[in-house]
Amino acid sequence: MIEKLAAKERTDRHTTGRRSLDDLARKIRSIETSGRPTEARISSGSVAMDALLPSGGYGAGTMIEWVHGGEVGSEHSMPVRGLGSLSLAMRVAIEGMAGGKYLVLVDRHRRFYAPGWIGLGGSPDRLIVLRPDCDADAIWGMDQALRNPSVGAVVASMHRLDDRVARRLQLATEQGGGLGIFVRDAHAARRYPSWAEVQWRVRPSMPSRDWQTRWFDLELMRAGGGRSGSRLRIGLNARGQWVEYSEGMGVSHESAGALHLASELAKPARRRNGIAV
Amino acid sequence: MLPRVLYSNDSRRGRVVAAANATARKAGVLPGMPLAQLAALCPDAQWEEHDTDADLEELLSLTEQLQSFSPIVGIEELDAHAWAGRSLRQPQAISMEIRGTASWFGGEQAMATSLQAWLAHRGYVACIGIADTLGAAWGIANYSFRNHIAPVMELLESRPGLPEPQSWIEILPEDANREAHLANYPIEALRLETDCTAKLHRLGIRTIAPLLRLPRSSLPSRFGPSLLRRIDHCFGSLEEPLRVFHSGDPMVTEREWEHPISDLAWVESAIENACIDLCKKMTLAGCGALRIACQLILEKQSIDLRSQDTTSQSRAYVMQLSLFQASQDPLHLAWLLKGQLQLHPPRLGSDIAIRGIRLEATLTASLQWRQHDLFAEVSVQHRDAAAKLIDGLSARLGRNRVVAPTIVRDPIPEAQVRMRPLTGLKPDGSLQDTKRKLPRAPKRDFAQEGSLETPENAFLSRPTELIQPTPVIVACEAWGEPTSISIDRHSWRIVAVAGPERIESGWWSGPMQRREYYRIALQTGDWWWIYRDMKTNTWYLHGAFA
Repeated sequence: MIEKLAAKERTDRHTTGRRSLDDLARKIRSIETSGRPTEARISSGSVAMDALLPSGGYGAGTMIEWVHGGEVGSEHSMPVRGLGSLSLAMRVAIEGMAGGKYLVLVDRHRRFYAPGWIGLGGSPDRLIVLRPDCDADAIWGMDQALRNPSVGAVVASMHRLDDRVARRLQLATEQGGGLGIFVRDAHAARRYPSWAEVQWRVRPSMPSRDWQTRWFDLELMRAGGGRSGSRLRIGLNARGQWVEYSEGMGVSHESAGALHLASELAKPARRRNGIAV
Repeated sequence: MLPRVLYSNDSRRGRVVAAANATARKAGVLPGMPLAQLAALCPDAQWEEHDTDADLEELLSLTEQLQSFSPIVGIEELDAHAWAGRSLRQPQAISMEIRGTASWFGGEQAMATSLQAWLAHRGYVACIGIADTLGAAWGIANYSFRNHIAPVMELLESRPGLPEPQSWIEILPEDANREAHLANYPIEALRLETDCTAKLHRLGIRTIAPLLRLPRSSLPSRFGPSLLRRIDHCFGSLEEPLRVFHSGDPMVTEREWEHPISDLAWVESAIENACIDLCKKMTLAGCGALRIACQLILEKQSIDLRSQDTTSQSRAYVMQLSLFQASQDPLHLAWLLKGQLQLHPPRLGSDIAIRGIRLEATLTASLQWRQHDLFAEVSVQHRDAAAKLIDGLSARLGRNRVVAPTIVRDPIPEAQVRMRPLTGLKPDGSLQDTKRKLPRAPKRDFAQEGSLETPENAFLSRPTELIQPTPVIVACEAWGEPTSISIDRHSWRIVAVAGPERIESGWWSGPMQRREYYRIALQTGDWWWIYRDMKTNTWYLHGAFA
């Protein structure tokens, strides 16, 4: 009986302590996000990914980082990386374009290839591509775009961001209420501090035999209020949809991500017939 | 004079000569000739790409200004097919109705002389033809040079020191016999299509006189209906309307100060006020600016101590902006102009100051609200905010650095996407206003515009990043499947391969391209897009699934 009471007391103390910690985390989070617009969360489109994030999705005005590479010695000599982190970043950015918002892509090296983006489900009508000549112009352009309320997401491959610039972009993201999505390599991420609220580490998984799905092993390295350290295996199929991995069942199923049915229906007939307007 | 050549890009023949100056022509350069022949004929020639839109814009500008000579001024209308004798298929002539106005200048000859001097002052060599039908005037303006230039050229060859002919005037008197006067003109002077001219040439008919001797009833069936129509246009049997070019009222505001200012803060304030004035005008007219030009008139005070003479020289600091969508928001326009001013400020100081400001909306469009979708209200808000963002980014970074992709139907991956500037240019690359001002807009070429919808499964079959084809060394199995790839002495093992996907270019689009594309997954986890050039059997890295 005494042992039972002692165990109950321990459990209560543990529960109370946990509740206090949760309250404290909530308070800190509300202070941190006080400058942000009170818009609904932006779903990543994947239920499994949303479950790991604070408030079940990306908050409006969040900076997200996708970190890749940093494992093989000769990778620095590669002329171009194809680890899929930009595809993941753009897939999340598409969700940020809901409600007629625009996507700004900073294409510093002039490599962006639109057919891949359209295959991912993106709309070229609301895509603005910036091709700045220097980093200073790129940062200025990102700052302007992030502050604009019509911009749902800004995607950029920016490996080196110093404190001052990163803080400037963070404030701009909070002001505009969109998503600031950055792709960085692991070397740069180790050297330069990150101001992102959510940071994913991307490790490519082995390719499927039919090349119909590209799998990724993601690690949530940072998420304010989320489940940091969690791992997630997720895929993108050939139609650009999330595919969630179910190990127990041995099969995968497509995610029931948010579909913009209304905007699809509202497309003019000529567009649906495939004729450029 | 240095030989100068303009070239245009022909989809089949590559770069071809579009125009050449007299020096280049003397060396044997002719329009329509491949640019590659320039090296042999005229190695010291300077060449650059022909900007058709700039030409057209200048012609329209001249047409507007020529309304001081006559209120009825227009640009030549093109037919569906190119005319024989013309290397460029774009308007090149201005038509003007001078009946009733010539007497104010002292007659047709005096008017033509004034016009010639007016154009010469602006740096143009004018070929002026006056006749009582539009067709005849066009013919003698375009082809009377044979009467004028041939004797002079002979004279020049015998006496090289003589100045070259500048321009010429040919007047066909009202009571003259048109048929006799035009008898020796080439048939091209009738504005005939190339096919029709070629048929006539095969029959040995090169001038108008033998053409007129052919039985009239047989002409339509043998040469098409356009020949008879053009003959009648020339000789007045059929009326040809002159489509008048009407320019809108200029949206301009000007201000000059009694004392020049040199403080940039004051200049910014002046720009704000000018924007407010301009927007008031545009509001009354119900339009918004698509392009604005702001001139700050600078005044330079220089004192020449030797002659004790004080002179003031004026020049202008010009800022030009193109907008994504028509705007009559003074704050937005002022913000854009002030941004330009801060980016490239004029050098003001004790000796250079600003005397006045002139702000003009050089291109306007009506402000029309159109519902695009079910949730138009939110979309329109976003669109307006995005338009301001695009304007700001384009003004600061440059028009060519704020772009959007357009997909065109081309099997070659690098030619499949064209990045078009979002401001100032239409998707087809033409300037916003140039074509719209024409009497008849050219037909849209839907064949060149592919569907924006790409085929299903396009995501994993096309890369997200495309690079310049980089030569790589690829080791293959006996059956041709790649096993490893090497670049600059670094080698990576290929763990999975998909392909090949064969892509070939059309015979009509220049040199044939035949490629076999593979998607490869490396041991590092990278996915690349490589191809084997089937003509040279060399491998290239072309993109990455980043």
